[in-house]
Amino acid sequence: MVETESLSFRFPESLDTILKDVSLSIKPGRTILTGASGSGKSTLLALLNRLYPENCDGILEGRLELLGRSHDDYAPGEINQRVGTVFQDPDTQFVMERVEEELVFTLENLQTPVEVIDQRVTEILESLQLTDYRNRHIDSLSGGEKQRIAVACAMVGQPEWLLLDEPLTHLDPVTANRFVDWLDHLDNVNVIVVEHRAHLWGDFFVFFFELDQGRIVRNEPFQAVDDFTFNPSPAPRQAVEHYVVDEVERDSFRLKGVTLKARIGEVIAILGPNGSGKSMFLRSLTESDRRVGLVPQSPEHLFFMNSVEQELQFGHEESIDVVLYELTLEDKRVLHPLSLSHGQKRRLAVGIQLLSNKQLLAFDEPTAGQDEPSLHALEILMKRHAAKGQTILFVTHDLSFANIAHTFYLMKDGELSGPFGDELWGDTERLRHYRLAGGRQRCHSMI
Amino acid sequence: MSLHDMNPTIKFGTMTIIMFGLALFYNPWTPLVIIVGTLTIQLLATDVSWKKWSLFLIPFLVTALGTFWTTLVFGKELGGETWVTLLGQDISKEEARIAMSLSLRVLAFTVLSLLFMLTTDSKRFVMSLMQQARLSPTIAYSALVGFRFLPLMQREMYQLQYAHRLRGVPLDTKWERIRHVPKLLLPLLAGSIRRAERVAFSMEARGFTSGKRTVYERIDIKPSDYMWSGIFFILFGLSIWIGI
Amino acid sequence: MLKSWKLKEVVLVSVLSVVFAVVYLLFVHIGNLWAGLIGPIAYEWIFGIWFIVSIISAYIIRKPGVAFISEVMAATIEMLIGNAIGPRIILVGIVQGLGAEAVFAMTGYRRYELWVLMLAGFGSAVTSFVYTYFMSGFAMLEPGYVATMFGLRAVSGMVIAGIGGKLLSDLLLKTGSLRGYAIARSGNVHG
Ligand SMILES: Nc1ncnc2c1ncn2[C@@H]1O[C@H](COP(=O)(O)OP(=O)(O)OP(=O)(O)O)[C@@H](O)[C@H]1O
Ligand SMILES: Nc1ncnc2c1ncn2[C@@H]1O[C@H](COP(=O)(O)OP(=O)(O)OP(=O)(O)O)[C@@H](O)[C@H]1O
Ligand SMILES: [Mg+2]
Ligand SMILES: [Mg+2]
Repeated sequence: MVETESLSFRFPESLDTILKDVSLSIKPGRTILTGASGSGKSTLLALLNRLYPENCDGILEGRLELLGRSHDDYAPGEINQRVGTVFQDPDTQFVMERVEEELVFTLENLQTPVEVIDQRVTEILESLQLTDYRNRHIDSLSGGEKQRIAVACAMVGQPEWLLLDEPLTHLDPVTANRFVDWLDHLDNVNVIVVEHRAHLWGDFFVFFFELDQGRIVRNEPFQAVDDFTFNPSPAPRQAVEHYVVDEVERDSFRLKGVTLKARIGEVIAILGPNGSGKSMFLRSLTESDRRVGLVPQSPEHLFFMNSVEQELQFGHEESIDVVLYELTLEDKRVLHPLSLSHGQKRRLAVGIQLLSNKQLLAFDEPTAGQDEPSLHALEILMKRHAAKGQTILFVTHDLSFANIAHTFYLMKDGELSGPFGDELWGDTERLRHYRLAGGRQRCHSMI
Repeated sequence: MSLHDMNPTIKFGTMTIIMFGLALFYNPWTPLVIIVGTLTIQLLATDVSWKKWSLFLIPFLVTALGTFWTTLVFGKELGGETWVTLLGQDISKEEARIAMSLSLRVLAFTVLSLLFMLTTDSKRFVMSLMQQARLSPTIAYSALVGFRFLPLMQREMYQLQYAHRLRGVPLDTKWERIRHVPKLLLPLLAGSIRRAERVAFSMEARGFTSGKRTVYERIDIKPSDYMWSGIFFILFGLSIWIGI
Repeated sequence: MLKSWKLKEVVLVSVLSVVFAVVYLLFVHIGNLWAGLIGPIAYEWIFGIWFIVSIISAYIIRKPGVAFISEVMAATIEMLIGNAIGPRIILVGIVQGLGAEAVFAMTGYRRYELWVLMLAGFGSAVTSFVYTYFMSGFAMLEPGYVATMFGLRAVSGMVIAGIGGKLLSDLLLKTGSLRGYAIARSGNVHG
C-alpha cells in the first residue's frame, strides 16, 4: 500500500522534524505500528490517509506513494474512499448528529446506490452488535461507545485498507476481545493498527514497525508479546473519608446515588463495561465536592491556558519541574496544550491534578493511549501521592494496570458494587458478569 | 398537506417574491390583507406554537411601532391639510397613511418570515437547496456542521465552566457564573475553531469530496407544493386588488 | 472561487457564520429596542457589528470570496434562527458582503493590514447604506438626518468591524487555534 523513501515531515510553525528519514514499505496484510507516545505515529497515519501534508501545510520531503500513486496525485477525499480511518480521539471524529446519519453520510460520499444504503447500514450495525445505537445522538454516547461507532463508520464503506489509531483504548476487556476476533474474521481488508498494548491482539499481526522520535527503529515480522506487569500499592491507613455521589438521570440511563467510603492513602480502581456509567459517576462525585480533583476522560476539557507551563503553574506556587520531568513533558513546556499528542495531553492533565493538592484524585481512564514507560511513571506518581495521604481513584479498562489498586469497585448499569479486594480475580462468575473476562481467550497458535 | 411538508426551496422562493413585491406598495391595505391571510393559513395548516410565535414577534412589534412614529416625525413634509398635531409637528392625512403603511409592511414581513422559519427544518432546507437550487454540497454539508455547533457550543460552555471550577475558579453562585462568562467566550470560540478543523478532517476521512455523491434522503417537489405556492400568490393578488 | 478553498476553510467559515449569526441576532434585538425609542438612527453607530464576520473570515483565510460568502451565510443562518426580516436579510448579507469583498479584491487579496480591514468595513457601510436608502425609503427623510446616519455607519464599520475584527482575530491567533490557516503564516503575530 505504502512506499516511502527518506520521508521527512515537519509542521510549518515549528522547526522540529516529526518524521525523519522514514523509508518503509507496507504490504497488504496486517501491520502493527508501535512507538513511544509522541514518536509520530498519528502523524504518520495522517500522511497515509492524505490529511497531511495538505491540510496543515506541513513540509514533506522524500517520496510518499499510496496505493501505487504519488500522494499528491489524489484529490482531497479521493483516497479516503478506499482507506477507512478510525482516529485516536473518540470525541471529535463525527460529522453528523446521529449514528445512522453518520453512516449514511459515508455511503453517500462513496456514491453507494440509494437502494442498498439502508441494507448496508443495517448490516454493519448488526455485525458489530450496535443495532441499538442506530438512532442515538452521537454526543450522548460514552467514550467506548463512540469508539465502536467510529469503527462502524470506517467499515461501512467496505474499504480496502483500514487505519486504526489505538482502537481498543476505551473498550472494556470483553468488547476489545470480541473486536479483535471480529476483525480477524474479515479477510478482504488490510489493516494498519497503531497500538501500545500489542498483547491484546494475540498473534493477529504479521508485520511490525516501531517508531522512535520520528525514525523507524524496528521493521520485522510480528511476534506475540506478553502483558506489562504492575505491583500492588502498600496498604492504606485506617481513617475513612465519606464522599456523597448524587443520583444522575439522562434519558433512559440512571446512575444510582451512593456514599463512597475511602480510606486515606487508598488506591481504588473502578472497573466495568462500556456505557455502564463510570464517567458519569466520577463527574457526579466531583460536581458537589470540593475535596475532589478530576482528570476527565477527554483531557482537553481541563485545559484553558496557552502553554503547558502556564497550565501546570496555574493557581499555585509549587515547582513544576519534577512533574514535567516525570511525565516526560519537559521539552514541551512552551507548546500549546492542544497541540500535544494524545498521550501527552492525558499526562499533562494528570500532572495538573497531581499538583492540585486535593484530598481525593480521580482519574478517568488515565491509562488510555499510554506507552509502557508512561504507565510505570503513572504508577509511581499515584503510589507516591497515596503515600502522602491522598486518596487515588481511577477508572480503567487495563486490567494489568488495575493491579496497583488495593480496592476495587465494579460498575454496571449505573450501579456501583464493592469494595472488593484481590479475591475479585478468583471470582470468575463476577468477572464475567462485569465483562472483565470470559470473552473467548484468543489462542496464540492460529497461523 | 401541512405547510411543514412543503418543499423548503419552493416555500422560500414564494415568500421571497411576495416580500419583494410588497415593497412596491405604499398603501396600508395590501400589507394588512397579507397579515390577515398569512395568519389564517398559519392557523389552519400548521401546528406552530403560538407562544413561541409571539415571543419571536415581540421585538418586531417594537420595530413596527418605531417605524410608525419616526416616519411621522422625521418623514419628509408632504404638505396637505393638517390632520393632527403631534410634538409640535403638523401631520397630514397623507403622511399618516404612509407611516401606517410602512409599519404594517414591517409586520407583514415579520409574519411571513415567522411562518417560514417556524415551519421549516434547517437541515431539510439546506438539503433541499442542494437538491433543487444546486447549492454546492461542500457548502451544504459545512452549513449542516455549523448548525450542529449551536447546541454543541452550549454544552462546551458548561464544560468549560465545569473545568474552570475544577481548576479552582470560584463559580458557585449564579452571579459568579454570569460574571465569569466573558472569560469563557474566547476559549469557547477558539475551541470551536479547533473542533471545526477536526470535523473537516473527519469529513475528508469519510471520503467526502467536492464531486459526485448519491442522495439517500430525497426532498422532492410534489403537486401540493405548487398548490401552496398558488395559494400564496392568490393571497398576494387579492391584497394588491384590495389596496388599489 | 470555492475551488481554491480547502474543506477545512469552508467548514471554518460556516462555523464562524453560525457564531456571528447568533451575535447578529442579539444585536438586532438590542438595536430594535433602541430604534423603538430614538428612531432608525439608533442602529447606525452599532452597524459595524453586522460586517464583522466577513472581515474576521477574510483576515483569517485570505482567499477570494471569503468575505462575501461568510456574510451571506451568516445572514441566511440569522434568518433561520429567528430574524423575522426574513429572506430580505439574505439580500442585506449579499450587499454587505460585496462591499467588503470589493475592497479585498482591490488589494488583489494580498494585503491584510489594519487599514485594509478598516477600508473593508467602510466598503460594507457604503453598499449597505445604499441598500437601506432605497429599501427603507430614506428618500422620504430629511437629507441632513440621512447624512448623519451615513457618517455614523461608516465610522462604525471602520471601528467595530475593522479594528474590532482584527483585535478579536489576533486574540484567537494567540490561543493557537488558528495555526493551519493563512493568518498564522503572515508573520505579524506569533501564537
Ligand atoms: N499540529 C501540530 N503542530 C505542532 N506539533 C505537533 C502537531 N501535532 C503533533 N505535534 C507534535 O508531533 C509529535 C508527534 O505527535 P503524534 O500525535 O504523531 O504522536 P503519537 O506517536 O501519535 O503519540 P501518542 O501515542 O501519544 O498518540 C508530538 O511531539 C506532538 O507534540
Ligand atoms: N445525554 C445522554 N442521553 C442518553 N444517554 C446518555 C447521555 N449521556 C450518557 N448517556 C449514557 O449513559 C451511559 C453511561 O455513560 P458513561 O460515559 O458514564 O459510560 P462509561 O462507563 O464511562 O463508559 P466508557 O467505558 O465507554 O467510557 C452510556 O450508555 C451513555 O450512552
Ligand atoms: Mg497518537
Ligand atoms: Mg467513560
